[in-house]
Amino acid sequence: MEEQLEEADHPPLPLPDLKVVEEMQLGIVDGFAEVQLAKAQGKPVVFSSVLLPKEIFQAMDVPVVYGNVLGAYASIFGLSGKYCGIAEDLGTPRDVCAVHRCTIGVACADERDDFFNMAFAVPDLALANNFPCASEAKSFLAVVDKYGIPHHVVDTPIRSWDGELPDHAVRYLAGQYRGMVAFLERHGYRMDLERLREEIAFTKALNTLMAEIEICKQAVPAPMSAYDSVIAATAPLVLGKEKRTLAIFERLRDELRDRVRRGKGVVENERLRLLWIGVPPLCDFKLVNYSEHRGAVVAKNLVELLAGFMLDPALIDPQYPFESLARAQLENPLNPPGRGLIDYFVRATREYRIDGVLGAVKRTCAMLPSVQRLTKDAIQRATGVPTIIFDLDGVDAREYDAASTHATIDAFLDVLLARKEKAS
Amino acid sequence: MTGPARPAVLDEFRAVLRDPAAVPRAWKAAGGKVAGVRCLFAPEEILWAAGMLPYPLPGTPEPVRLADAWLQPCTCEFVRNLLDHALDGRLAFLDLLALSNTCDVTRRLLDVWPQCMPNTPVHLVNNPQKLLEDGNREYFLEELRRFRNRVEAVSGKPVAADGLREAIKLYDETRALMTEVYGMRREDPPRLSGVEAFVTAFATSILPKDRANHLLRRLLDELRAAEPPEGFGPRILVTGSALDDPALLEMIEEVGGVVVADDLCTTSRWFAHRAGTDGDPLDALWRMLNRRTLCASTFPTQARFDRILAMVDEFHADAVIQFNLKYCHPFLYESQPLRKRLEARNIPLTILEVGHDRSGFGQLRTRLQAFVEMVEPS
Repeated sequence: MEEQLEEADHPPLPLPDLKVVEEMQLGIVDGFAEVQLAKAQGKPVVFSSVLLPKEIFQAMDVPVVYGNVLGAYASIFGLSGKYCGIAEDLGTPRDVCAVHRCTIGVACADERDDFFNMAFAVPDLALANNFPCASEAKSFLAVVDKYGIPHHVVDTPIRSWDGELPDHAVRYLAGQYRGMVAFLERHGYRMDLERLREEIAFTKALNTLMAEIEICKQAVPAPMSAYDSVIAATAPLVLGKEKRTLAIFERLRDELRDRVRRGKGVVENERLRLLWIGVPPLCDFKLVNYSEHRGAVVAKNLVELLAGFMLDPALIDPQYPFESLARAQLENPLNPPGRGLIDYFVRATREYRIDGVLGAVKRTCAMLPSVQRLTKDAIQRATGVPTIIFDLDGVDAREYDAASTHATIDAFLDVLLARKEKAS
Repeated sequence: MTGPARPAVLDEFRAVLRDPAAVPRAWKAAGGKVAGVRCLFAPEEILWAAGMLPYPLPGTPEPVRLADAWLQPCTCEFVRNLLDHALDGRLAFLDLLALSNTCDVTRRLLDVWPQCMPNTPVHLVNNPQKLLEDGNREYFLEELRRFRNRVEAVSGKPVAADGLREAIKLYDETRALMTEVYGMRREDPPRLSGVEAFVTAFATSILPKDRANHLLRRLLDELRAAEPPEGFGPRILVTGSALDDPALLEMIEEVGGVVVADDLCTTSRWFAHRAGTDGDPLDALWRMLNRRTLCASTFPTQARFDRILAMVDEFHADAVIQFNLKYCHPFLYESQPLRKRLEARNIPLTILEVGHDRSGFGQLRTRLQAFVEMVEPS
């Protein structure tokens, strides 16, 4: 991965602050390589989304290319202009999601950069999902057409109901997941239900561990940098169900607990704590740590939700695998409408003792920008914490402007610092 | 379209579109209740059976003002325009907003609407997006029952099976009449222009259906008696996002194209299927809606492409224009796959991305002119 970073013409990535996060990065690279190995062994490779239950893939030993992860990496490696350009040359309009344009570009390119030659395998099947937005399901059309492969769509209802989750919705989504299994079985895979229960129990154990990590991250001063949090949130997608994975996260929890005990933060003199509620700046990842030079730490950010790893362990019962996954997904804060997401951010503002909220609006996102104003209002009402909403396409580097983004963040920090000083 | 005099009844449809909100206002003045509807999965038949007037919310080609404070300018301009109407009081007559589970921004109205219009309840029919499957029946029927319960609560009138069956019968008649009107466009030359067909279909969607059916019967009689019009260019099919303004079709016809078919939410999509009155009426509605793979937010996508190709054949279209509203992601993603399928049949396609407020229409005219000149009439 590091050689790749050197080759690409892009701003340098931050280095992980915690040793264990460095280890995660290496594990991620290994995880990608396993797909190529499976392809070489003749297994059909599935092109899919991180927002479908990976437990099903793992229980069936399905090698998966997570398209949206590759799209995100294209941006992280400073290659978004190139791969968005490829997608646009193929006819994908420039106004659709930049992450999915990167994904289409990587998946449909005739030639790819080395990292993607390692991480991408030509798919034999595609499994799409309309959770949480239209782009998740529609961007697959280009890939399906390019390779002429069979594909299947999983339909996730939005959480439109007040109060308790209704049974008919759980049954419907559980049925959709069974349909996903049936599709994979039609193409040579077999489901082992006992294995699925084990995978789900593993997810529950890992999510419980993640919840403990989150409690550490709430400490003042913040013990974990924004960049490390992003890596840690995405790592489980590719690390797989292994004791090693649990061990890594146990070490992360322990390192954080140790830092909290010692009162060690990611900055020397923490002055402000921030919450990032928009799509993060993938094409300039060091921006998530940018505010640290002013003593301001992004203590919590949206990517931890986008990684699809926030299924509530309390909703997971391995004895009812499909229903458990359905219930957890329907209650996922990302599931529209915005109530779940707004409540999540209000809670985070309180729990992480946030001083200010950064609401970045990605021009090509149809889902998050339409909830920013409501989130801002809800946070203000519940906690009095201010939010700044600003335009930031941090995915397509051709539309990214670092200088104006720095100026916006700096101006907001000035206001927050003055506010804090006045209050003290 | 040039030639003999056009059917006089068309003026009545045109009058509706000059001020669509006059229809619900009049209904309200007569003591009725009104439900704003967006999109095609909140069955109007249930509202009608409860004595409510379903009003498929149309926009206006004005720049968005107030709604930008709630929905970012990078989101669908049509939905923002509708929210503008709500915020400046133009939808104050609504007793209910009935939404469907379609695109990202429409679904967001479930969040934004209660903040902007706290006195008008909103209900979203959480339809499955994956259709043509028996497996969604139990789920979808429960959603339809919940919608019926909500409508009963708002209207204060129970929706009995017989009343719902009557409503379906009325709506099926409208759909049958509209299908017959559209069928006249198969002829060469077609008996009514693309603009006339659009005006008829869109106005019919807004009118109470008993009134609309009366006008449609008159239109059919007048069209049968009329001399066919003259002078035609290439036959065009228009497909794409929500189109609530005939200006685009007028432009296509002014530069020499003849719009012989349209695949739009405001026109043929709402009358493409009939429910029938056999058996349980909710079940009949489910059977109809489960075939409505007409919106780009629904799956399987191939069913939409198949319909467009079938319409090309049925209406003998020489070319297709895909009209996308700016930031209408579901339709934008379909542009290229649609091109591929049409190219395989040697059918020319042009793809437009257009502002709802008619911005860029000057350039658009030049593009359309070039496209229409390029297409060889069959």
